[in-house]
Amino acid sequence: MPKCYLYLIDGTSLPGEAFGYVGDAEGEVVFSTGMSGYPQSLTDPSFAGQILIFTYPLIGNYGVPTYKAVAPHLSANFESERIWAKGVVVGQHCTRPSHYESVRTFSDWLASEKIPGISGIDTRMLTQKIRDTGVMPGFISSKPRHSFSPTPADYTSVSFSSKIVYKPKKANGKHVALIDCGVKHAIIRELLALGYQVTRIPHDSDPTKLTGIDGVACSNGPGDPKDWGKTIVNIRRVVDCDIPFLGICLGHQLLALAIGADTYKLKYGHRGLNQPCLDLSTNKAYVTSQNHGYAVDPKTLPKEYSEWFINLNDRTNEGIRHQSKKIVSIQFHPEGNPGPFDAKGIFSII
Amino acid sequence: MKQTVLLLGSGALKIGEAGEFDYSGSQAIKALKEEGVRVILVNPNIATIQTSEGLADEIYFLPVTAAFVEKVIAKEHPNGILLSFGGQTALNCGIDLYRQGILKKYHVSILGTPISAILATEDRKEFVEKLATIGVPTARGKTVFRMHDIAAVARDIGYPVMVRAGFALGGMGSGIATNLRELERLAQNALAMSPQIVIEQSLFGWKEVEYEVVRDKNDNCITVCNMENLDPVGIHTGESIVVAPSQTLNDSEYYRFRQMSIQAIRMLGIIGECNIQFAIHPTSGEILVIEVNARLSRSSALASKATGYPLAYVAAKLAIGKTLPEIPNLMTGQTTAFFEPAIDYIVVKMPRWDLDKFSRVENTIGSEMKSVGEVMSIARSFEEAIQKASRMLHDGYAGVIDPLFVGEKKSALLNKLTHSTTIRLFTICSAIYRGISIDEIYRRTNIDRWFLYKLQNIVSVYKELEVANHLDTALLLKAKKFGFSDKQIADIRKVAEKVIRNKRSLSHIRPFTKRIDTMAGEFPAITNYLYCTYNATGSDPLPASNKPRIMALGCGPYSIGTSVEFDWCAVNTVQTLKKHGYEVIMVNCNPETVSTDFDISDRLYFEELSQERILDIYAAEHAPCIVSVGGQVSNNLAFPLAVAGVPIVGTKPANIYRAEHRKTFSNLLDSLHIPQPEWGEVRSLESAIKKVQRIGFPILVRPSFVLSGKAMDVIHNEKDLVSYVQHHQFDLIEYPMVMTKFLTGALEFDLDGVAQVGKQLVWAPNFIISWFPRRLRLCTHFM
Repeated sequence: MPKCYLYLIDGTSLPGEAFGYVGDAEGEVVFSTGMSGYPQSLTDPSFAGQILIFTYPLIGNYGVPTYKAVAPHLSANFESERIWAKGVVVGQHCTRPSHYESVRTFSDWLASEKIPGISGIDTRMLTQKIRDTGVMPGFISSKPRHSFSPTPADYTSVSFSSKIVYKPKKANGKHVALIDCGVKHAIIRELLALGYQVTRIPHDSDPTKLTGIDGVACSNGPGDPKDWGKTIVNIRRVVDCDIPFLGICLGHQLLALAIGADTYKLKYGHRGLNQPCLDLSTNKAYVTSQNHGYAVDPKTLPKEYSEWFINLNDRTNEGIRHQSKKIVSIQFHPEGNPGPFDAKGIFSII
Repeated sequence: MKQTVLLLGSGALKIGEAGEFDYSGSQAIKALKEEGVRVILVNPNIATIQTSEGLADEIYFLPVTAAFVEKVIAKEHPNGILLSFGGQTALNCGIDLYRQGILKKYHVSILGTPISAILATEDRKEFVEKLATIGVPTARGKTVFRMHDIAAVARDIGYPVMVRAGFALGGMGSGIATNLRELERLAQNALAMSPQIVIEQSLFGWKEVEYEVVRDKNDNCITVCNMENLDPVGIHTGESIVVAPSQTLNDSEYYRFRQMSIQAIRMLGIIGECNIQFAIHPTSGEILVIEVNARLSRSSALASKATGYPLAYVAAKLAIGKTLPEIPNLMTGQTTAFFEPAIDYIVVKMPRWDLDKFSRVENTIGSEMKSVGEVMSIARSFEEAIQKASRMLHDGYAGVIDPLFVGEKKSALLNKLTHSTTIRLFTICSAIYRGISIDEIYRRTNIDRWFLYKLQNIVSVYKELEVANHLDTALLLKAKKFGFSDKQIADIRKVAEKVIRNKRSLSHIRPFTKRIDTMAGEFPAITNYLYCTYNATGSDPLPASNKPRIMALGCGPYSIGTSVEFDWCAVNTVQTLKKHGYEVIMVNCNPETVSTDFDISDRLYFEELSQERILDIYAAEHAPCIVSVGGQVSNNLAFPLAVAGVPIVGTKPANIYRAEHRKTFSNLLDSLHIPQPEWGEVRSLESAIKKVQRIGFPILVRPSFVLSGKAMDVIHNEKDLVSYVQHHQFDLIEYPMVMTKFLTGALEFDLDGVAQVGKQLVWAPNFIISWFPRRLRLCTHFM
């Protein structure tokens, strides 16, 4: 196997073996502690621009399934139509998977999507380093290098550029506008399963212009929430019109910014399938799936909003809601995929 | 008023109920004491930690049966009783106490899981019906009383079907029918031995997965761990090789199982912990619940050790009304018990059988448990973990490839693959070595190809080691990453183990130490629960301390002759040393022990008790070693470790040798004029026959350096002596056989004592000593 290297901007250089696409990749190096769900994670648009480290040492055990379209631009098995992570770092990748749904190996999948991977890395050691120093830019390269200068990424390409309407199999009579900032397909699948008609709109379009809308949801997505200016303005309009609103992940941070609260960058984020969240209104706890690098500062919330969920590990904010109106948002992913979906009842809130 | 809780233990050890219940009971007592609860324990097993002084407030060494427990209740007036920490024994006793109205009579409430949930999981019909109400599927089946009905029932279920005789133990009369004719034959047999038979959907060839689920009184639920059985449905989990986390489930399967686990625990109303077993069809993904254990089990002990999540401790807190978010995560000290551990390593559990000690016992395995112990290995590749586990068994294996079998005929191997036996792992590897295809092996074993491919990887490296002209650094490192021991490599390369060790040290090839932290590195751990792996490039930094250090070796897997008593010894040693200001390092690989609780020692290495690994740990820790508290496995390491330069604390290795080596020991007795039965040491059958004429039958025979009478026998005549030697195929040149006159009608005394530099300090038992023959006391003194 060809040699390759992982470089971090702090000067760390780690040798490994190339797999997947043989080439270079640059991005913010982050880690996820999930033990399953690599097809979902890599196709999650929230990982756009990032190099993903899997802390679990064996990746690719059950191979990769087909895309399997259930509607135009909606997959049954993946979270989008392509891999969004820029590169992948693993201990070991499985060259002979075993699963009846597998159609190719992890490495072949990465190669076909032109995503470089590096294996043979002590992912625990690397994770501890990032935990202690914070996430940082990095580079996968097939050639030894001494330095690199990271280029800023433009994330808005994760949003589909035109409107798509999805009809549920069994309608509940309600219609939801879904602002796509890089929406995970599981969110659409979940809304459809509940009977909502879903109109998926680009990140910069105004949902209040749509007619017959019963509610608005804003999706997950990559990057710094403060870079999503147009979406923030549009969410402000939704809130002002008293339209029921549900924000998920980035959508949660964007609601916070729209109502005048602040967000900040976490040292190394929450990426995993075992993040515990406490519902402060009921004192019930949920295990949740998460993938975010920024958080809402609850101290900056306006008085008509209260903190809804907190993270039991580090007590950071995981959800907010309006005191009286149906305006809510959560930092975690109630739809799982990958991970648990204990809190998916939240989707019925709209 | 202080709350008083009665805890039921599991009583005497038996197959299926062993040290794991000492672990769960001890953890429960600790958790309850922290909350200021007065704990009354009923357990007649003296060799346990939970019955040691200073843990429970009152201990009753009484049978765990309703009649005796009632007397304890009448005397102690507990407010509550805990039934789920003492295995099936405690659970059954609890059901009896409830049914006989004893709990009601004395106003004792059942803490944790309510009795309704316990009863629902014990009654098959109720269980199936309850799960059906929440849409959780179980195997389809029907009870049939007459031959007349079988065809219709089987047609409803669809072939193949499983036929089981009702009220029959251990699957007697059961079998799988793929058509009506086979069904008729099976049903006729089964109905001949039982008034009713169950015709069930056959789960033959399905994969088996387990989840450990926890729920608190506020309905907060988590699954602590999932585990995948390498062996398919039909092989008891206790007989199966088990891995954690699951390796062949995709995310949707993983979380569908998890969802069903939580639905089931909620519906049953369990408060505390339960274990749920599932079956999944390998090509359709259909899933079913096999059973629920509404109590701590062997699997939960394994899950605790595999993840670092103290299940029994948490379950006890939940039983007295705490909630998961209120309980701190002891590993990190800053997060809570409400979370699901993320693992960044692979765990392999392997059962330990001891069937050689019984005659006329088949080595086939199935739905009945025969294993007496287990080991758990941890590494960052599956290959490394499973090779480590096979060595940890201390059953003569250097790894998963047994050179004794690789020479076997293909036809013999193919035939062996069809039957599940205690040596199936080694048979599979031999089959791979002989070129039998993975598909063929899968067809015969139904072990998921993922595992077979991994075993094939090990075989490939084995072959590379065989054919390489020169063992270069790259190949040596590769072999270590695939879990090969120095000894294994040395045997393949036909050199001494020391040669490989030296080569390794010259090339700086050494294992790295990693922590188990429940969080995959996301949060720093404050505990030192450790394992070693070659699949890494660095060690976790460990906190420095100025205290003097000592390393204590545990007992390894339980087997006949090595049991919880050695765990008791190890734990007491660690506690005493800590009291005297030492930092204590514990090394053990048995998940059913208290000594492997991460908070017993200062550093816990969940590792192999081999010369190689202890030397690796010594190189990192520089701690002198105690070998005398872990039974024969660690005692046998005294000499090789001392030779390699490890300081041995306590009795000098040379003196251990003098006591263990029969000839040296007997010479010592002679020199001290202490009488002993006539004996002789022989290196061939011929000399044995000659020598026995002098000693005279009956004789006691055994190889030197053995554990608890393994292969030990009393022989009454020459014919038996010949067949004994031929049957066991001893290497008498290497390990001479000792023959001792077997005294009949003699009285046997055991005398325990503690001595320091040859001076007796303590006698036990003391009351005997006064009337002990003076001559016997003198003998002991001389020794």
